[in-house]
Amino acid sequence: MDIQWQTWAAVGIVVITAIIFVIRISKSKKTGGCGHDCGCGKKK
Amino acid sequence: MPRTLSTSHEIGGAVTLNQVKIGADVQIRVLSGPSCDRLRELGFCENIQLRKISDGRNLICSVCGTRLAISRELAEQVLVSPVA
Amino acid sequence: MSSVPEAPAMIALVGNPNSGKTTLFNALTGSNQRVGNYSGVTVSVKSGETFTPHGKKVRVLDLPGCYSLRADSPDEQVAIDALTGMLPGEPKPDLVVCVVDSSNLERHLQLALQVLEQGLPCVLALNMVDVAEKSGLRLDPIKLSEELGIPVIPMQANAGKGIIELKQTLRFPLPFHPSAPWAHGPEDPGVARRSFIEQLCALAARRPDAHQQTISDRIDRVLLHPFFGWVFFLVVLFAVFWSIFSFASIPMGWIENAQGMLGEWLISKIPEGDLQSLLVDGILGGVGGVLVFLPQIVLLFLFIGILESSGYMARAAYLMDGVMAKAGLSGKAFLPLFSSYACAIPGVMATRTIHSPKERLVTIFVAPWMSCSARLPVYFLIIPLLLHESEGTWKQAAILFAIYALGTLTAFVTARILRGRLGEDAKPSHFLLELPPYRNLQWGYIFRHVFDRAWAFVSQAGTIILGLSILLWALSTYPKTSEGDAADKLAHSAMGRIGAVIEPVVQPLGFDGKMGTAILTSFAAREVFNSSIAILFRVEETDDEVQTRTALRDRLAEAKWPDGRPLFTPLSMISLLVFYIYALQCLPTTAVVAREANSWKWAGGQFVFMTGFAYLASLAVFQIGKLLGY
Repeated sequence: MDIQWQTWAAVGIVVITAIIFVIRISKSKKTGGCGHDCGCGKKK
Repeated sequence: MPRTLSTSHEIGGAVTLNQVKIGADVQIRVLSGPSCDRLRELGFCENIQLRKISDGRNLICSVCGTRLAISRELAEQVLVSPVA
Repeated sequence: MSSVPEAPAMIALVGNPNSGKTTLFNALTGSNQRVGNYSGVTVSVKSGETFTPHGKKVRVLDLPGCYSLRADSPDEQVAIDALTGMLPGEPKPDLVVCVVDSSNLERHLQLALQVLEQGLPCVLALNMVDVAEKSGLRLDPIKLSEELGIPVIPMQANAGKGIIELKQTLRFPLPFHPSAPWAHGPEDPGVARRSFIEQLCALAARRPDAHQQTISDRIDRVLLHPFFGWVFFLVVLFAVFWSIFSFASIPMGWIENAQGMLGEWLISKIPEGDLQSLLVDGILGGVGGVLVFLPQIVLLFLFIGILESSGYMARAAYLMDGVMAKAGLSGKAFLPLFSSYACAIPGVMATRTIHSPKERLVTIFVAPWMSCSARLPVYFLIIPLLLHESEGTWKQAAILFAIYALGTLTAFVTARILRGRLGEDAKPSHFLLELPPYRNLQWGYIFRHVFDRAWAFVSQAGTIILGLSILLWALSTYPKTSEGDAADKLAHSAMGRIGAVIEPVVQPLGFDGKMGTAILTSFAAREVFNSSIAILFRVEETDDEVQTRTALRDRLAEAKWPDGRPLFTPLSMISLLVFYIYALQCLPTTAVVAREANSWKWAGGQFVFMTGFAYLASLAVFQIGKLLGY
């Protein structure tokens, strides 16, 4: 039982992450410019 | 190189900034050349005194208390004469 | 101008750029300002309200900073229009406040005299008197006032000093300047103005006899010396790289220990299963593999902050001008390129200070080859594998230095070729740079800067890297098979299959499918390489405490090809480093390049060129190395 529970939890986390990523990618198309992805800090 | 109107003014003994020795205090006589307006904006105006601090590819001058590095091409457009 | 009101209805602020005009405007008006754009010009005129000491309301107009009233540029035209009452919707100002930088009177008074010639009542705001006095200038505001015939208010707008005195002048009778004596001679007005200013400054703003040798000058004598200057420059650069390796290893050890302890704690709390694997191998391994490099990134930004704040950066640009010229660039390109060592994005944005459009385009193009901090985690992972444990940190620093040198050198060669292709600018522009005096370090500014960057790095690790780690873990776990050992399970998973497809492409570079997959994932962000590697090369945890804590590096050192050859040979690692030096794996950079160069073609071309170049360079390194018998 214990193993089963863990499998479902792991799959759940993965699915939630995937959904967040899909949402972020579809949203981020509009905003160009300085992404904060390169450690460049705040916008100036 | 085209000379501006103010050349009519006395420019006896004037040399370009490139020809001045390091450490010499000089006074700007005439600015002539395509970049003279840009130079004026930075404080290289007629009659201003400046000191040449170093030479080389770019030279450093002390103008009105600030240190400016300018290229030899720009310095060629600055005609100066030694301070009396 | 009727004499009924006690105070003027409107005043205008005029001055050169950088005379502190806007500071004064904000000090006078507080937050009561709005920005209005007048049709046809993009230059903005700000307006606000202030009160006289007697409580009368006065409108204040902040005109664009300009050097003269020659009407050469849109800014100057707006200023003239405002002073002559031609600006739509605004009356002629009742009083003009000329703001001048008192340490630069010779330059700034030129505009003031031109304003006086307009015949408007005028007050001279002698701003930044503190700076002028510090530079040894002897100011005499009373004399200045007598000679010009107008009130002269010494002030320090940024500290709020002199504001009250200035406000006292905002009432009737307005200080009216009847004539401009210099303007009535037979001479050219420009010449007449200059000779008047010369006399004026000799009387009221005497500079110390001859030019003083300031401390900055004395420092510059060494630091800009044709030989010692370069020695210092190289020592500084090497010291920066060396300390990044040696000092950072202490906090890095802490982070690794904490990570190991957290992993053990999780294993002890959660029984073996998928969730445990996700937490320990996926999240902790993936995020930790990136986070461990935080100390090194903090140090790099700290050093850049110190160099900028001290004033040495401008000297470095001066020294580098000759070198940059060999690449077809000028010293102005140094700062953008140097910033790109931290991150290409601020570097690309800093190219705005370059006047020549073609030089700017070339600088933008090569900037991503200045190895940015996102590549550091990859370098730090690989470099120690190239060396034995016993070898000193200075060797690691030397390799890192070589990596940076290789990227930089290639960038310069490319810049030169590109610059030759693009040809000369229509309008020649020359090197012109102000060398600020050396200053005490502004630690507040530096720390804020470092904190911002460090926070950006950490928050990235906590969001994108976390998410990617989870997805990568899933890809390397599912679909599952119950047979075989860990390696067989991985081969069966989605990631293992992708790796099998990629392997033929990356094998000529000396990489296997797993490394190929890790490289592929790092096109999202370079640091993800470490997370991918951590997840892909995970080994079965053992009970041995030491074994559990072994860093990723030790696991990599043990990795082998199926036939037993070690996977990470020195040659394949050099090939990997070369790939990371050249590949453009950063979408935000491409987006910023497209915006700054105003061309998606330029940005796309850059991406294709750099990634193709990375592949070919890596290929060449591995194949030639193999032929030479390594």
